[in-house]
Amino acid sequence: MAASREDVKFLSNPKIGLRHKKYCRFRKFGIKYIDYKDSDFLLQFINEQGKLLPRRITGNSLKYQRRVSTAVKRARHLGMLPFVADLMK
Amino acid sequence: MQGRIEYFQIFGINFGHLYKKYYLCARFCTPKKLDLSVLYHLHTSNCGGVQHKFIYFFHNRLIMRHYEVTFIVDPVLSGDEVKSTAEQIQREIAAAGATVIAVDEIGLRQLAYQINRRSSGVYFCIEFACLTAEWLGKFELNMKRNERLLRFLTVKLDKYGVKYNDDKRSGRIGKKKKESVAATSDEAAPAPAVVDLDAK
Repeated sequence: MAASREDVKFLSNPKIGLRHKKYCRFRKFGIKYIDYKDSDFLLQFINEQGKLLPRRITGNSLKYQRRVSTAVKRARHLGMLPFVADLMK
Repeated sequence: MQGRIEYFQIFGINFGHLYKKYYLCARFCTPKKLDLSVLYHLHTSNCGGVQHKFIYFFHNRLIMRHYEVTFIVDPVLSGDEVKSTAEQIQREIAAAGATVIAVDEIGLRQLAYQINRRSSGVYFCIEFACLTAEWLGKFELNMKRNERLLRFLTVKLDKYGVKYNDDKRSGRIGKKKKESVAATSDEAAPAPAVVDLDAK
């Protein structure tokens, strides 16, 4: 019983080859200032251990990655984000 | 224009002949509505008025520098004591000749890690503008010595930060996530291109 053409379509994931292009969200949405007091927003840029996510994952441009990193560091100083954590998310 | 020069003469400041064209332009006072209190501070504060070199001009405008100090008050204190601590800091800022623009009481919050064996703290954030900045060193030393504070952070705001705070106060920015800043600025850099969030 050979599979017909219609069946083959379902056997492989058509999205496998496609990848979304990463973009810098600050550039795209025109965000000019990153608030260090907004810890919920900054949570998007750190991993479960509370470390900063690299640019190659978040897609930030260098300029805004620098600003994110200062904002996270300020938030850490003020006790809004942890320096080290375990299973934060 | 003439009115402005009169103000300068009232307080006996030499700006009249030095910077004829210049006028005070803080973010909160348009050229038409000149804030007299700023001029008064300029004259009375021990650092302002005389030291022209510390006062910045940009496109014929006198630049106010904006700062923001965020501090955490010990939660063990009673509510009144917490309030008085914040007020005392406000008074200190005002006494140095700065203008307090906004006091944001963020309130009691859980700390991400323990500070001085406390696991929570009362957060305050004060935004202020001043012409000169050399008093800040002394101010920060006082903050450091203040035993009621767990921690503090003074940050200089750039024009986007000033605008962000302004928008936040007037409710133009959502609590959860910032949206693209509306093109309302008159003197700030070219407004960001209008982005359709749904376009993607």
